[in-house]
Amino acid sequence: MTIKTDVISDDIKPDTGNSADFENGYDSVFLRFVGEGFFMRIDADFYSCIDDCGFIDSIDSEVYRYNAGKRDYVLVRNDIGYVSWLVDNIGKQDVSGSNRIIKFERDGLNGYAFPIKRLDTGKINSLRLSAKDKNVIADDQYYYCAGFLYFMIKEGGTKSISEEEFVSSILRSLVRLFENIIFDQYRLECQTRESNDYELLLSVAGSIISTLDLNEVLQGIVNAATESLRSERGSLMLIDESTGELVLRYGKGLKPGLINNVRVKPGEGIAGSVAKTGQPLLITDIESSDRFKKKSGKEFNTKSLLSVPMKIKERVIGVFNINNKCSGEVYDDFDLKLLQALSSQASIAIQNAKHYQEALQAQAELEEQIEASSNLYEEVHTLYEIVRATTMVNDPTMDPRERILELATKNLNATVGFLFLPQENNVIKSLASSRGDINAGFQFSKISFSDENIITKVIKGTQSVLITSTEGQTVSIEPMTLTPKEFREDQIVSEIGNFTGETVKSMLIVPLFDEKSVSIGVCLIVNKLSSDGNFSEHDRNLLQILGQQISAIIRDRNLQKQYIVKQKMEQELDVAHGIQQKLIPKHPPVVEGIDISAVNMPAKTVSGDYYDFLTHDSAGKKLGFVIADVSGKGVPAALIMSMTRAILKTQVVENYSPADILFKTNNFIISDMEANRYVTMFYGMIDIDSLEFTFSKAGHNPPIWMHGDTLEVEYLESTGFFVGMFESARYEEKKIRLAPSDKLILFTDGVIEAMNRSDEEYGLDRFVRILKKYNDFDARSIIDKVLIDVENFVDGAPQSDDITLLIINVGNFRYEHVEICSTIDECVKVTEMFGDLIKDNLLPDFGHCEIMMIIDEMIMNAIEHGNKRDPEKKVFISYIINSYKVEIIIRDEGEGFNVGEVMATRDKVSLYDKRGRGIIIARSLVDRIEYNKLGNEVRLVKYFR
Amino acid sequence: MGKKILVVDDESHIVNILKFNLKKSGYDVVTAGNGEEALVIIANEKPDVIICDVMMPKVTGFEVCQKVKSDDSLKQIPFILLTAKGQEVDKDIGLKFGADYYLTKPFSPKNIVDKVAEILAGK
Repeated sequence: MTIKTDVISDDIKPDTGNSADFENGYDSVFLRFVGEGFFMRIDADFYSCIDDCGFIDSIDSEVYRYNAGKRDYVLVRNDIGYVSWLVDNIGKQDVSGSNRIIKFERDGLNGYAFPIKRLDTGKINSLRLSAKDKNVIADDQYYYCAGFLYFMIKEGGTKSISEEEFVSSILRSLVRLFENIIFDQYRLECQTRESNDYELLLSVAGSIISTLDLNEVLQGIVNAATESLRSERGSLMLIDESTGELVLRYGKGLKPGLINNVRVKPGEGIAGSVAKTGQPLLITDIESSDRFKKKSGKEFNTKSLLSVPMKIKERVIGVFNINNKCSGEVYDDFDLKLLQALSSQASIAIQNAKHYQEALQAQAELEEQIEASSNLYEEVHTLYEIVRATTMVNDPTMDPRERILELATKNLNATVGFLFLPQENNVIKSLASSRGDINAGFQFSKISFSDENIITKVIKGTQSVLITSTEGQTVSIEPMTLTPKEFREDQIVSEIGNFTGETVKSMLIVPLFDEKSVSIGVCLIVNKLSSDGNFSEHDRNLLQILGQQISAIIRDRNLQKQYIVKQKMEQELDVAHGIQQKLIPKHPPVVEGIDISAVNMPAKTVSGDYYDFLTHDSAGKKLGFVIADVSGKGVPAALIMSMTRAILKTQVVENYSPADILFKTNNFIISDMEANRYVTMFYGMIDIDSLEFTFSKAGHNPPIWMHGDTLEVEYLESTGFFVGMFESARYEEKKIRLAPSDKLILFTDGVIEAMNRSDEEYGLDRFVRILKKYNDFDARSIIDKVLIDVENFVDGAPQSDDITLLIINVGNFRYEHVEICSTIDECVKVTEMFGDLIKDNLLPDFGHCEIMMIIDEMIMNAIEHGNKRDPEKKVFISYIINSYKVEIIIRDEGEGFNVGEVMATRDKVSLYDKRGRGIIIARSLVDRIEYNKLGNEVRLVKYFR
Repeated sequence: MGKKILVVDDESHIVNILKFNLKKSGYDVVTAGNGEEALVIIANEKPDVIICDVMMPKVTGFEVCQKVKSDDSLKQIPFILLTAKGQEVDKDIGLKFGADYYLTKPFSPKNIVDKVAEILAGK
């Protein structure tokens, strides 16, 4: 058996196109041909000339079996690259050349063997296999022969075609075959990639689901994508809903400083345009992309990239970018598809994470709100405690100010709190309260308002001051009342430091005010027990409120003290008034032939005016009159008045000389009189039988002597100094003789000096005019008329001086009296009696009905309200009904009523208060309505002129 | 495991404030909005401390307290009664029903947390 071998060609070039594909496939594919498959692809023409064909496998083994033409063949290859043909077939053949087709003979038949090379270093294969794969052979210069494809030509088989035609046909068929194989392999590869990517997607999805933290999600997505796409860099940008800009949220292989700082407007650059259009972009080489070449930032160093939008329900929420494959290859559609799938997963995950974060935030906000309301509740509690403390103002066992300070210290978490309040002599007292262990024995030095320290500064500044410090060093004082240096060196601050045993780091001081809104002290809290150790503005507000409460307590206490003092004074005045009222005679003496009446109206509770009737002899024939005005008013005047009265009383008995009485009184009184105090006085004495009137005057207004017949007016002048001014002062004494109807009018300057709102005085002229006008009236009525005229003149102006009037009228004047039981019948009877009397005297145009109504009302008041309809109790009625007046005095035996109260309510009468209503009606219908102090006697007067 | 505190009040904001403050201090908090609910929770969960409002519709805090204190398996649970009324009469009734402590509204949340800590420490 002979084997002839021949090398046909070194460079097989198929005669048709596709040479690149062929070469490519030839180089890159590891082939195994088994069975008939291959030959079916060869034209029948050629097939007909093949007697036998097959594949000699030569991989990874020294000896290979092959089967051809129903026979087994064994091929042995040695290490240096030649093939030995054994078993009566192929002889040894050098195949170290790479592309040689071996021609040989066997059993007289021609054969061709096509070497099939195995090349593992092709680009695709090397990328597809990991470095761990031991099958990779990195040396692409070394070709392994994978085996041989052989064909045995039938005898005479190639006669119809040339040998070259045969080889090229075979090769063409091979090319087609390789194409199919490459395609199949590509499909397989795709399936593998898809299945790998599916796994990747699953793993990404898993990692996404497993965390809800947005940053972790972003990181997981980007890392998964860059790894699976074997890329250098990946980044994720999300749209900031407030600005619409894309913000870099995570980047792998990017400088960390870029995260959250790179912002891109929609439409700008690659990511911006992806976000705007919602369409993905695959750029194989950015340098060749005109559109993005310049815009790609240097820091990204981009070559090839993928950019896909992230969408939720067609709304773009961000952009996912992957740049630069590690291998330097470019991205393909497959990569894009993967990234899109990943991106849609990621979108959902991001949205979930966002929702989760929102939920977390909402929960945090809710917790914050609860915390806020909890703090508020704490504050309410504090305020409640303050209210409780302030209601304890009158509790002698507890100072509410200390309680408030305690609350302030506790609630504001201060280490210690102080109140600095003034004691006597402008010295500030300190008061401490704390919940920690404090050096209780520590004594503060006394602080004076004139000192210069933080407390006096706050008092002067009247504003709260907040002092905070950072790390115990930087001190901030707001408002700036002193410098940080001054603060550290402040006497009070260092004393507080000594007191508490720790440095004063923070302080809150609010000023305290008294009832006149003058700042008098401070409330001060020190060193907050919190992490930063500082008080807040909130604390300041609360302490200010607490300070106001303390101020309110100070104010209340002061006002209460003042009130007590005032009340005590008023009580004294009341006593003085009571005494004085007792000193002034209640009723004028009743003397046959002389009508006397007097009135004293004090400007204050206590009057400095005085009048009196004195009896000089036991027979009562000589009657003394005194009218006096003590300089000044009120209690001191009243005291002098009572002293004067007492002295006077001792002087009159059996002394018939008014001048002597004044002289002696003056001498007595002068030793007890203060400087600048004096008494004007008029003393007169009437002899009831002779109507001789002896008088003397001590600086008093001269009384008026009005002659009854001529109405001439004379003034009773006589010389003499004020009583109490000069020792041994001399007093002139004069005598006059009165005629019937003559009147003596004694008065104090309060009458003629009564002022109206325009500061005009009533005056002597007007006074005399009134006296003359009503000269025929009785003494009491003249007084009424004068008072009415004075009241009209002053027109509501407050009474400035005491008014005292005393009238001696030479003439007879008597009240009539009637008394009834407290029954309706009696009332009707007596009213009818008055009706008749009035009718007889009344001028026709005076409505007597009204007067009757009032009389009826007042008598009924006495019966109903006074005597409570007790028939045993009497009603006493005194009356005068004459040509010029109706005067009725009604007295009951009841307990009286609060006259002042009823009279004061003149404008707001209760319709249900019958008595009050009667009084109000009466006031408008009569000229005078006067109650006695007890309220059981009323005097009603209606003048007809 | 943290101690379990039951807070009962018909006013939800009071419940929230107490729950918040107690949780912050590390307690487990269960809540009830009325007396009936509270009784069920007390029976099932056996809380370590009960804080219960007095003024609630239907079953009042007094009744809850009485039921707890008359049940041998529950009566050792410290019972804090809360009420808006600061009246001594209420306090007397509460203590008569066996309440261990009595606090008036408005209370200081801090005080209540302190009180709970004090009660648990004393146990």
